[in-house]
Amino acid sequence: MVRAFASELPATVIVLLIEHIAISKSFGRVNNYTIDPSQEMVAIGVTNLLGPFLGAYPATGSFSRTAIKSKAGVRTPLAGMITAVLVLLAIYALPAVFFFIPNSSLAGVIIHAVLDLITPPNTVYQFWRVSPIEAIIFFIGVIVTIFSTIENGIYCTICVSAAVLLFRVVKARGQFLGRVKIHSVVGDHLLDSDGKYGSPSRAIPPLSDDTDTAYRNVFLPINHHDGSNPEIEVEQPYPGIFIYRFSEGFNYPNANHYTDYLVHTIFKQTRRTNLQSYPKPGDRPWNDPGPRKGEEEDRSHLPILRAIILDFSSVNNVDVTSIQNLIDVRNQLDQYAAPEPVQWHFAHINNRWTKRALASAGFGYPTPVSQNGFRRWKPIFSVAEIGGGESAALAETRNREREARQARLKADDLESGHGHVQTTEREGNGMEGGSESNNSADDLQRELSDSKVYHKGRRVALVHGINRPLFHIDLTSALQSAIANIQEIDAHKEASLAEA
Amino acid sequence: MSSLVGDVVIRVQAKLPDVEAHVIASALAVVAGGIVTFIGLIRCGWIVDFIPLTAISAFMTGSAINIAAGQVPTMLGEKKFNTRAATYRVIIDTLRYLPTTKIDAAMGITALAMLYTIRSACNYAAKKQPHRAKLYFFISTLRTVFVILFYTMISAAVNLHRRDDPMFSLLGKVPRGRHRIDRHLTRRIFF
Repeated sequence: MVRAFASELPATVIVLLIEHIAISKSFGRVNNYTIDPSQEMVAIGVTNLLGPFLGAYPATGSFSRTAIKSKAGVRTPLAGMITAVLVLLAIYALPAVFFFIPNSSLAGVIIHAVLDLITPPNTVYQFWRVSPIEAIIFFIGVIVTIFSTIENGIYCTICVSAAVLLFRVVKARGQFLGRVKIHSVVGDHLLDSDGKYGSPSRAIPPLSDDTDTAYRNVFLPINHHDGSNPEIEVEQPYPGIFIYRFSEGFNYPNANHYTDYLVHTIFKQTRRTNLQSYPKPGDRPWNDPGPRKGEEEDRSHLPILRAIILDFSSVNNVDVTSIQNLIDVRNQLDQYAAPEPVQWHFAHINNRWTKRALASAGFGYPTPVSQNGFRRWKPIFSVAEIGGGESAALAETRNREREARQARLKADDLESGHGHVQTTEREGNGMEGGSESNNSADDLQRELSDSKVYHKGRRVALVHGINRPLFHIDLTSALQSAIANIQEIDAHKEASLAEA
Repeated sequence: MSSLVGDVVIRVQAKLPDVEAHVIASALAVVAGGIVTFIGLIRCGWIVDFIPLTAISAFMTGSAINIAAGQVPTMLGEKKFNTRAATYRVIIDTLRYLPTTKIDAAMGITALAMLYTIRSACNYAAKKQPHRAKLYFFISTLRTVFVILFYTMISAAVNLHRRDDPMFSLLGKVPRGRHRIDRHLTRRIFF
């Protein structure tokens, strides 16, 4: 017989769950407790598993009975026993009376009961206001249920919802961010008089207390697609630096879409460093349209590509496809911006695995220079305060101390996951910055204690490992680092030109 | 749930005509229950999160319309037709058979009206006298019992002496007690 209704099973199971879970969740919310869906499933499953041996048929939660019991102050499942006794009594004592129940009145009672389950129009309007597409999905579900069957309606809504979700993930588009200086406003009093706009809700906390607190930098989409005030001029952070934020994770379905948009925009807003990159016309790939004959536009006013800062705040995990995509884009852009390699900075990496993946793809570390193999690199690290009067609690301090001790034990191997990648790479390029990163955590602590931060009587610790100087805690430090290094490179170049 | 089970039973009976309806329903319960218990025991309850709120609302609304539409012909005492067809079909047929309504409609529509009257009266009273809100809530929940008893009394008064030819359709004989326990259920599910 199972074969006869196997095709009906998914719908049956879904309905069994929908009704039960919907009821338990809504009453959990009313009476302030959380439900464990697995436990609820065991309960409803065992009921259906054992009941039929006493002649029962598929049973699930009942809204009306739950509502009455909830209002009556029922606290334990014992109430179910009382209900059962009453039902048994009715079955044995009342069939004679049941004989006279008019079918039409019974139908009226049923209609009255089920009409309450219809989602009221203002709830549907609420759906519409929250997410118009879901209101449409709702209507699709209802219409399919009316013109086909309940099962098809369920399958339809679930599939369409999943498809919309997937489509959003696949077609997710990143945003280019620009910097805005933000002043905080208390009441009608500006903390600093020359700021005009304040949006504290989007504020990123300043890097540390000893920077100037009169304003802070926040990063808003340049195209104002987030609905921020279009009158605010979001400045391009620095010519040739692009800050790109992922919007819905960075995984295999959407990696290509993200990076296409990134590369496309960069190509539009920057120029090639070497204009004669295709000496012969045949060297240009056939699928690269190139400039039209006679319409070669003058792009010399555009900046060259210097650095890309990726904001990973919305990314939890990455996968092989997305990282490979990033590697491809890095190669492509390095070629585009040759001879100077593009700097890749990363901010807000949330997950160790993501950091590990990026590190193993060679990110987080200055791109090695092939010819002379020598370049000044200026790492900028973020340090967090620990202990001290005005900051973290004592427990936190102890915690950090213990971590620091562990870090000392591990000595050089701060990022234990990819220690070996890091060393091999370091051997590959003899950089001055490298020698600095070769210091152990102890040395760094000593270094830090000599710094100006220490003289203010504060204890500080690194937020991220020093072996990956391009992983930053926030966009501000990423931008600082990028600009500092671009200026460093430029100064270095000028110096070598002057020497020559 | 019940209407879905009814649909399933009808479809399965088309394939296996010699199996009684209640056996099919029980078998469906056992198998579905087994699946749900298994999912619960392997602690995969989070899969219910794949069912979005819109799907739940659409299912509730759709099945409510479905059930209500299926009951309207009974409430009006119309000539029998297939109320298990697609909902739009049932609504069309209900309108088409409107001329065949009988005195059942009097019992049905007044019952429905009475239910809504009691409920709105209780809501109104609970708003007017918030300190008795709980009392009114229980009166409101008992309205179904009250209406059923009331109409059963009317029906009994009318039909007590004409049980074989009632004035309007009655529920009829309800078997006393429970059915015999099916000792061969497991065997019948799987074979």
